[in-house]
Amino acid sequence: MTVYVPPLNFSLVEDGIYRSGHPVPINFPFLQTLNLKTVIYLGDKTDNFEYYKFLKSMNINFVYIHMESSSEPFIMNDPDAIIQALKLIINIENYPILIHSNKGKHRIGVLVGIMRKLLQGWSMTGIFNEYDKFAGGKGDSDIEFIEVFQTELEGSLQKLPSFVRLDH
Amino acid sequence: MSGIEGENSISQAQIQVEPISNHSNGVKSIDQGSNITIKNPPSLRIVPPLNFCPVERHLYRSGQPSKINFEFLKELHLKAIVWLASEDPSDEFIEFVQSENINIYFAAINPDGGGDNNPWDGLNENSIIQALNIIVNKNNYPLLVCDNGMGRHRTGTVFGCLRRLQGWNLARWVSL
Repeated sequence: MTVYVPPLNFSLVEDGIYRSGHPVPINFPFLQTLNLKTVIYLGDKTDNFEYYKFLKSMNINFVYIHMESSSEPFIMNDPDAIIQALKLIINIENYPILIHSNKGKHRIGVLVGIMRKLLQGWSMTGIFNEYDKFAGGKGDSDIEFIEVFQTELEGSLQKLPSFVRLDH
Repeated sequence: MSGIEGENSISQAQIQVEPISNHSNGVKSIDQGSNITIKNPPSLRIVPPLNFCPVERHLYRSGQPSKINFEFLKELHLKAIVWLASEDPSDEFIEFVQSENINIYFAAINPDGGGDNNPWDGLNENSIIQALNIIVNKNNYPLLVCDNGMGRHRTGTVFGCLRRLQGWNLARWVSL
């Protein structure tokens, strides 16, 4: 029997959207089982050529969104990168999606947290609980960032994933 | 736009190994739908149960849900819940489950266990098998598996066994 090795901090976020750390070759057989259409990488590495080759051979759209890991007080989370990722997430045509950073902790935690807040209306406690499960105690500034983040996200009603809650 | 600092950030470069328009068969998708702007979170906030996490499509895990989580649970359109504890759930939880027409399975209550149904005992093999049998039956989906605690040990054991059946390596599924 094949042993499947999911990437670091792999988890389901919603139907058709997965989160993880940066995949490595040992994870490729597992990734194949997800039938991914899009991979969004929030990160700063551009030399994982084996990985790009794999994605290309699987016909997966790879979207690299440059975002440095926040490191207070010098490097802050980049709202533009988050907005860019959210725009892809609110379009069902991009699904199934894997969103990943390097460790799958902080940058992805921020993106998922904002998704939970803006698109799903989760309470802050629920968002922090989930963030912390992956980040493991570090990242107070990330939590602040999630809390105060605001944007206006343009999308198409017909293409919204079903987990997005809207006021009627 | 965001009111947070970083507006002069130039780190927005998007490098695409594959062009993103590729998935619509080369045809640029024409936006026929009505456009919307998502500006604020929905006004009714929902509160996930402690340690809530999606496991697979329409399969969820959590700790013990309480009243504050009911609106959240409604969003999942659950068909069934597996209750992994020897004690009964609270009356209000049972009322909620009944009013939503959700089936509840008491997987840890083991009729063959004799006097061994001690709430402080961990799960025995039989109760794990019972829970897994419910999980592998897709007629029960969407399905929530929870226990009367934090959703860590009992629920975690069941999903550890499920991941093993799925062929996941040990180091990964013990980590979450």
